[in-house]
Parts: sequence; C-alpha cells; structure tokens
Amino acid sequence: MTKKEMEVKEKKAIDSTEGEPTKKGIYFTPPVDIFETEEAITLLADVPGAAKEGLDIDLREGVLTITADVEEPEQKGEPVYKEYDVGGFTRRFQIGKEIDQEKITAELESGVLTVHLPKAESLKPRKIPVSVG
Amino acid sequence: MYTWWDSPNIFSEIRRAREEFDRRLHGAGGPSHGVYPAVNVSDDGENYYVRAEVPGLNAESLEVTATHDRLVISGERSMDKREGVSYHRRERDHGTFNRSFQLPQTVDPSKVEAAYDKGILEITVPRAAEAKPRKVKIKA
Repeated sequence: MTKKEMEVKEKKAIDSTEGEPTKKGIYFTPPVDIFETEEAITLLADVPGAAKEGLDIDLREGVLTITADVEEPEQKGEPVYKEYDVGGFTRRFQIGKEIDQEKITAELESGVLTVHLPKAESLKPRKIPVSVG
Repeated sequence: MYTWWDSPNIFSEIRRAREEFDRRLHGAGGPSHGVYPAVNVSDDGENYYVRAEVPGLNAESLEVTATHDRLVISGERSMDKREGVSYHRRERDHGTFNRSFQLPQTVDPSKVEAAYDKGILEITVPRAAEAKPRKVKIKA
C-alpha cells in the first residue's frame, strides 16, 4: 500500500462573533481524534507550540472545553515569508457520557494533547456472574 | 520548489493561485491544499529561520537535509492503530511529507541546524560569512 502524502490544511481561525471563548489573540480549531473504549473516552488534539502552562481543560454540564495558549515565538529578525498564522487553540465538545471528573488526566507531547476521560464507575458495563443453583 | 527570498509577497501569490485552483476544483470556499508542512521564514541578517508546525513527530520520523542549493524537510506521521476502540472523530492527518526549498547562494548549507520542540521545527540557515553585512569604516 502506498503511503498517503500529507497536505497543508489551512488552520481554521475561530470567528469571535460566534461567541467562542476569546482571550486576546487568534484562536484556531485544532484537528482531533476521539475514540472510546468501555472504560474511557480519549481525545487527541494537534496543538503545535502549546506549553503545559497554557493548557486549560474544563468539563462541566457535559461540555468539554480544551484551550491551549500558544506564545508567539521569540521574534528572530524580520518576517520575510509567511504561510501560517500563530495562535492558540480552543474547541468544545458535547460529551454525552458520564465522566469521572476526578480522574481526567492530560498529557502534552510534541505538540499533541492527549486527554483521558475515564467513564464513571457506574456506567461501565459490568459482567454479572450468573450463579447456577 | 519554493524560493522565499525573491519576494516578500510570494506566499500571497501562491495562495491566490491555490485558491483559484481550489475554486475550479471544488467550487468557491474550498479548503486550500499545499505541500506539507507550511513554513514561516524570518531573517535577522545573520540567519534565516524556517519554522514549521509539525506536531506528533520525533527525531526518527522527521528529517532535515541541506545540500549545496537545497533544503528538504521530510518525514512521516504514522496513524494511530488502536484495536477495540470506536472512533467518534478522526481529523488528525497522517502520512508522508517531503518539501523542498531552493537555497539562496548567500547561505552556508554546511552550518544549517534544526531543532524540534513542542511540535515545532525550527531550522536555522546561516548566511555565508562573505554574505553577512559588514560595516565599512569610513576614513576621515
């Protein structure tokens, strides 16, 4: 199988008129993968340039909001050529499942944010042993 | 192959051409595509700095090569293979990439350096010693 070649996808800037959470500066919609197992929901988001200090993960009333601030890199000289804008990332998701808030964990590595959202104990499928009498 | 030192507006020209192409292909407002990764370049007189957002890679999956007249950024972002999970969304791109830039005569390709941090690649392309601006002393 030949490998697919990657393409530049223009970063989607968030339109501040839509009432998205806006701090100062531009925010983009990060591309995400979300997958689910019986135990948890996991979210991966591409947030290049984001640092741990600028991360905010919030889950309330079934809405998960991830925000990753990106510091404009130290300007080295004059910009001479520009193909992309630098800014933070933010996105909201409706999470239909009961999540154990206390157990949410997140990692940030090489510009990829991983958020683990373990399901609440009561919602995990449970095998009921059938006793044969 | 792109050159960045000829015109500061080169990107807008590329983008216009790209948008025109997309319009024909997908109708107005279609996404624009280009060779991955997108780059920004700055210049402080000593060096050119080429930056690219390439999240989710590491030293093995990312390669930067410099020859006497070319700079190449290549690599591969592999797809997560997970068994027994159900995907709700799969938007993160994967695959191989290879982008090539023509280097100006005025740089020293043997001194090109690259660093990868927080998903951002930064390549420092130093000007050749003879091409650096030199203050000329004026005799009184």
